[in-house]
Amino acid sequence: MFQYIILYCLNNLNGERSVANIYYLLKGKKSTQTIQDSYLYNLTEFFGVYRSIARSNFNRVIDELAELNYISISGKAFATVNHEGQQNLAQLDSEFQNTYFKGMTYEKHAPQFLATFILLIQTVTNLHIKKSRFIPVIDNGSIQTNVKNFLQNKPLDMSVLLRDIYDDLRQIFSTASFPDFSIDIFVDYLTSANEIGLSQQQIALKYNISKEDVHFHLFNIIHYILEQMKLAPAKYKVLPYMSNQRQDLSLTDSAMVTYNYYGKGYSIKEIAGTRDLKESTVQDHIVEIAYVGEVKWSDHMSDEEYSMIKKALVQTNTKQLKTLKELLPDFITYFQIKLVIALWHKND
Amino acid sequence: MYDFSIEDYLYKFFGYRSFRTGQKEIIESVLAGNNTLAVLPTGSGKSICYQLPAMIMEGSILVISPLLSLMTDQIKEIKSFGLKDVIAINSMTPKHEKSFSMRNLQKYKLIFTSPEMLQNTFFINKLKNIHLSLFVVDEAHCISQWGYEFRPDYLRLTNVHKELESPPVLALTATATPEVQHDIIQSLQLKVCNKYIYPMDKPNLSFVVKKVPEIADKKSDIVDTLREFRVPTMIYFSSRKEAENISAYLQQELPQLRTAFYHGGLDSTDRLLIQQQFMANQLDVICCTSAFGMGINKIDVRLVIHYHAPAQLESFIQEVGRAGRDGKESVSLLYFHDTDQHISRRLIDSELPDILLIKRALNYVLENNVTKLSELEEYFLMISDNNEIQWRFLQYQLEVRDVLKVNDETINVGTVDTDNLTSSINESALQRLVYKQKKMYQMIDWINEDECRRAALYKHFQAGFQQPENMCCDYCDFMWQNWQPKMIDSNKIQTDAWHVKLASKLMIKEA
Ligand SMILES: Nc1ncnc2c1ncn2[C@@H]1O[C@H](COP(=O)(O)OP(=O)(O)O)[C@@H](O)[C@H]1O
Ligand SMILES: [Zn+2]
Repeated sequence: MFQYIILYCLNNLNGERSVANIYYLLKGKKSTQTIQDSYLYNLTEFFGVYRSIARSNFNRVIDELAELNYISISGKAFATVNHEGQQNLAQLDSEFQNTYFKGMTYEKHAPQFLATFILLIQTVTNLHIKKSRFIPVIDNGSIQTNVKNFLQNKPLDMSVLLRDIYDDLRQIFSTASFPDFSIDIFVDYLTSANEIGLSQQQIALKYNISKEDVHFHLFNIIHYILEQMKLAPAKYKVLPYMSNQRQDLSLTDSAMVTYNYYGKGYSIKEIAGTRDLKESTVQDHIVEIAYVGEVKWSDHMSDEEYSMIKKALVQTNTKQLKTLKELLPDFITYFQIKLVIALWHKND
Repeated sequence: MYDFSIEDYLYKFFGYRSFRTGQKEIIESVLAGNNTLAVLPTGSGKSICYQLPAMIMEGSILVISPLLSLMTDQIKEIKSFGLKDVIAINSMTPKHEKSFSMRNLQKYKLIFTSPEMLQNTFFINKLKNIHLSLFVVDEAHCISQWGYEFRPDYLRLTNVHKELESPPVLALTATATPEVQHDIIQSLQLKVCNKYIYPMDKPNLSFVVKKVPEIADKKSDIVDTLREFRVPTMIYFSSRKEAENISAYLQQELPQLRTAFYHGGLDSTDRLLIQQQFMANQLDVICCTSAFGMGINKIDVRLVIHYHAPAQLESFIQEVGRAGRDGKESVSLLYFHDTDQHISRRLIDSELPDILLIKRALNYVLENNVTKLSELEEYFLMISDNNEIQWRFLQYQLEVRDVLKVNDETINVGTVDTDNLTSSINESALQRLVYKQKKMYQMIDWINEDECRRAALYKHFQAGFQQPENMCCDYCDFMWQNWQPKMIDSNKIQTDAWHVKLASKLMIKEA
């Protein structure tokens, strides 16, 4: 699945970005560039889906793809997908196109949810057999607090709770079509009082896939669960109570501060002044905000300028800024182009 | 003074009916407010020696432990016993958690921390403000330059202990030669100290050494052995790669055995899962590096195999000590091939920086006016290919030469002549190398010795040893056909559909 996702991303990037951008995308790097690119190239679903990925493992897969002649890498580490790669992608499509990632929405929440879920099951099954002494498999204070809070608010009979969890999971698994083994992997990973779960390493071995694949199988399910909890919470008994955390805007911290000022009506110049930043930096923040929050183009350009940029976008069908800038009159700024792309994208 | 006897407390808090060897004497010494040095073999229950006092004594107990993972395991275990007033404060603790717990230190009965936290002046000041009834130094051999796991940052303990107005000390270790015992007491400047030294030999353990003509014989012999003896087994390796490879090989050759590997390169959840599978008897064989074992409380490990000889006898004793904690007959099996010496040599060499590296590091300090320790650390790790052991060595050498101020982590070369400094540090490196080589040859001599392995092993640490309960060693009387351990029942391989597996894990009956 990892290979598929990388090919898919490279294909979308269309040779216009370096492979490292995909690495930052999967890691969910909070930089203006990464966030903007993920919108530009329609890759928001994969934003931050693998925050713990190691650079060396990422590089390994890139090398493998190059060796298979699926991709070629130029001097500047820009990669294009070759004919063989396209064919492979088409083949894998049938298996993986039904993935449910929504990285931009759940990147932060998903790892927490998985950990909470794992620990909840370990805890509830142990309580069910009246065992209060066990060593939690999740080694994280805030997750342990989550579970504790959840159990405090639900003073239920443990066997009822377990039955409800079971029913919820069956419901989840019956409404989606996950890739082969996904569900088995998910179940193997669970730890209960009578059986410790397999490690991701062991799962990889068992199904003869890579460790990164295991991660994607697990998180594909988690993203789906989270989305279901949002769309149809009434169908489930337990899971919605575990996932009711507020989603936060995917903004860099600095852009968040800018957003606060901007929302109060400060101008770019004023924000730059008070925050001791370059105007171009604040402009980048505004573009970032445009993808997720409220920004009006009319605050930053005339009607005429707007329609010129929009026309250029449609005609060239590229998102490469340089090409666009060269096409447009000099008085149109990079900032204006980026802003239009962002807003146009959002209305898509 | 207390309404209950300490046996009552033992039962009440930990559920144990009686003390194990040494525990009572040590706890009484601690409760009486004495400095105490305790040398107890691995697995004999050292932690009770401060956990129980923590329940009884007024104030808080500070425990300094070198290993993060060990600390978290311990805390989890203590919490599972129902003692909630425990906290671990170390570099891994998230910032907000850290500042919260530091502000509320007096709430905690047991405060675990790592030596590097003790340079944090804020933390030290907070510690000064609470009533510390005991200062516990876990793995105390780390303080000795001659200890096999010497950690320069342990030297800070001396000053910190003084700053905290010298509360009574409890120093704990599993392996300490008389030389190291002396060093511990000296370093901590304990004028009076009760010593409780318990023999580290285990009468339920038999020793077997197998010299193999070809390296490949090791794995085929392991396969033969495990095919015959299906018992909970740990196999120690000196490299992660090798542990992984042999684990894969065993899985292939002995599919009926459940084998996994474990080393410091796995991420934390995977590590926890593997550990717990082993404890829950879901795994039979674990291929591991020395990273595995600390804090593992599996009592029925029957066989400890060394694929490579460790670099010194002290490590060997620690590692074989994980076999047969329940007191039942267990076996240590060590493989040796003539070229193994070179592996050990290379390992030792890689732990010390050579003169060129030292020179480069010091020149960097001089040329760039480096004053921050972290800056030098970053540079050194870069030029040494991330060799942290070498870095710790260098850091210590700078510290004892007063070039490095530990408290504020600043470097001050001042008027020091770098050429002199380089050669003097190099001199120390060479000394240390010679020392380590000596240790290594001790290990190899033991392998080659023509006498009872038990006698030859323990003579370095203590006078005499207890009568072995079973077979002694391959020199004396060991024969595999006379070993009859309880075998693991063969387990069926699960091929259930996912919903059956799910129902079973969730402990419900499917409708
Ligand atoms: N008095 C006792 N009776 C029974 N079990 C004990 C006793 N003291 C300790 N234990 C158990 O022995 C195991 C090893 O203890 P630990 O303190 O981790 O050993 P060490 O640190 O010496 O290796 C633990 O599981 C502990 O709970
Ligand atoms: Zn003997």
